[in-house]
Amino acid sequence: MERILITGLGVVSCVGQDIETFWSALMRAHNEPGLVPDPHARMPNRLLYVVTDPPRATDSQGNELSRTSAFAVQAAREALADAGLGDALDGAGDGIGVSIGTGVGDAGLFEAARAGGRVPRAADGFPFKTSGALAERFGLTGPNLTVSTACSASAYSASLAVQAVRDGLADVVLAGGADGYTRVGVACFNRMGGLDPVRCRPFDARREGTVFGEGAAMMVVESEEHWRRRGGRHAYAALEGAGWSCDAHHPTAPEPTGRAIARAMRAALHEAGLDAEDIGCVVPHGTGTPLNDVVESRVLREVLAGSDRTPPAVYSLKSMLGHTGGAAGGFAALTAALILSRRTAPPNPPLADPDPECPFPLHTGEPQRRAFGHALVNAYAFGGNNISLVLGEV
Amino acid sequence: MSGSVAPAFRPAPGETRAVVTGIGIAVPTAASPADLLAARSRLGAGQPRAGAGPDWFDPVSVLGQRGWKYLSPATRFLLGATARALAAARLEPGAYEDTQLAVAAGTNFAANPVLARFDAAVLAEGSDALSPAEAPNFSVNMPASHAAAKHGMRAFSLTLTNPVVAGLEALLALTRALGTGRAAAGLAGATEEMPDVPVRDDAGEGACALAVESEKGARERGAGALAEIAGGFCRFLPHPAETAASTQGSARLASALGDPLTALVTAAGRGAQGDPIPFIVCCDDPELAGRLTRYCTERCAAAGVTLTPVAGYLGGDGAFFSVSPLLQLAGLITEHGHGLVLGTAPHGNLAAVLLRPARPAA
Repeated sequence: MERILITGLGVVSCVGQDIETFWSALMRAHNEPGLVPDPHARMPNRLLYVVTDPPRATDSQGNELSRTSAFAVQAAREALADAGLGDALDGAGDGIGVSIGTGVGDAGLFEAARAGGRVPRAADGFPFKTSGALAERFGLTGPNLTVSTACSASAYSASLAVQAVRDGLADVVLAGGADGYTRVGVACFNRMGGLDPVRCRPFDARREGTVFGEGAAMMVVESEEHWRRRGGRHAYAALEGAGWSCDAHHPTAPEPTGRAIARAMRAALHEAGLDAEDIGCVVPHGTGTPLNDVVESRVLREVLAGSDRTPPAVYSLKSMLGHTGGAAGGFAALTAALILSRRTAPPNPPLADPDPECPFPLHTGEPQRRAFGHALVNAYAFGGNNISLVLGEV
Repeated sequence: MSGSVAPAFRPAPGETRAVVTGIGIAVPTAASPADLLAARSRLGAGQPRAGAGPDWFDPVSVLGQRGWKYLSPATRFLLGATARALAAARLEPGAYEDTQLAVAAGTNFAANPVLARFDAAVLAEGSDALSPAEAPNFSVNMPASHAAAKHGMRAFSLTLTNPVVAGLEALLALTRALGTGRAAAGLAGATEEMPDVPVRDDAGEGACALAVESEKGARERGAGALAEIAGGFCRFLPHPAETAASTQGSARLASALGDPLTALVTAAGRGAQGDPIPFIVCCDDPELAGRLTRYCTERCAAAGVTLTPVAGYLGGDGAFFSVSPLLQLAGLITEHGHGLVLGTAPHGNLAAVLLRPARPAA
């Protein structure tokens, strides 16, 4: 089966708005949340991993894009340039597809209007226009999807991008995720008691919930044949497998046995044609939510057990970025691609009190440097929308 | 970019054939496919208005006494439509493994009124004014997730949100998942709640769902197929009204619409014995709908396939947003047993799904 490659990357994040700055920040292994950029946020916990100096963008009619869509446009510009797809940067990306995951979409536009005592304009009426904004800005007329499976959205969008390329519907798909701060999202998590009062600290025994972040992670997904034919510069990783599953259990709580997420992990390995011992690195979902981290740790141990080789490196990305919602799976896949291509897993921020119920060791202090071979990425969501991706070195 | 791409998805020879085995509808004035046809005959051949009274959906009679109090209207509508689709398909629990059953749903406005209401509460009183039981409804994937939980569908639950075309995209995603083995059967649908923003004056709300399974699976359990999903595509055409009206836009129109459409119908689209294909463009702009209808008809005619434009059903003018194109499919299935629906959004999203007549059982 032909390989599907990641040939370009772009980010807008709380720790950097280009790949090199982002990577350098991960290697420093320390970050703290700020406060929501919103004077109208009437809620006790206002922590957020904020994108400071956020990019702004308008559509072709001059309408201001939402924070989510503006993040996406900037990250996409970097990814397309990184892949050497200059035609698209000039607005002539005919045939290139777009597959974007987002949880809240353009909801921030409506919130800004309400806080200002205005009714959002009809032109802004549709609340999920990020994929369309990208298609319009870069002339991307290929297959176009917006996935909103909450916090697993951009891992699903990456999987659907791979499917589109594999089916021959496009040679290239811009895939990833974006989510900007929304007042209602943070307010709802306040009300549900789902936020940590200190920081996002997955796998720490004293964690009390997650802390949201924001940003965009974009990947250029391309068939290897097309990449070779056009003389592409570099490829970061291959997207080798995906496993989908649904808890069908509860609107917000994970199914406690973890059987559905185990099924997703095993399906991704199966699709990639790999065994558990082939996995050298894991970027878990790891939100800091008490039950999620325990269930995921237990299932990871179960699925990846049975090997006496070096245990996989586990990189807890949300301890640096917070939970970027619909962009989280995209950030995780992008980071896994960087880890594989640079053969370096950045050090995890130290945990004050590692949770014995989450027995995977998180390396701290120094990065792990080796050929990891293959990486497993997990993304889960409200409603039990689970997905695992397997990426491989190129 | 490369010219090597296949412009439209269609199952390869020997691949799983996906069929529709049940239709569920929950919109004002229509609770069944027959209602769709009756509504059109009552309203004439034009594009019927969506309309909605405040109490058109009675959750007790549709969903029972319990279990829906904290669900959003969009979730209730989708649960109503999916229950009706499963009943029509006689798809009982246990017919398939739960890990082989999936839900794919489109929506644009399922969370929009909820978000507006929550935001007003936060602005006025703070987050403590929110109901913890209702708080999860801020997430737009809740309708599909509740449908998956309600019907015990554990293969996956997918929510797509592109303007207007998300329901068609959900149907294509589920169809493709049958081909790749991610699911063996499931529900594809769309649901909308009345938007809180002035998108259009005649907006509608409600849901539509289709039970979809492999032809083989349907036959093995003795279910009749209503139509076969022959394929489809989703694309983006920037500035559709201007592009379709200008000669300068012809290359882009061909790339985004003409080429995938002709590839789709020439390979998979002929009705029985090459019958003309009933065709609906589901679009909010009558002038654009007319241009696209003519363009598609001419392009297909040049390729040797006859499209026969027919009047749209309820929501044919896109008033139910992502639900609208699925209502057109439901109407075509019921009235003709096959057909082609092209959905378009003002921003440029396009999607098409082609249905062909179900093959008679051997």
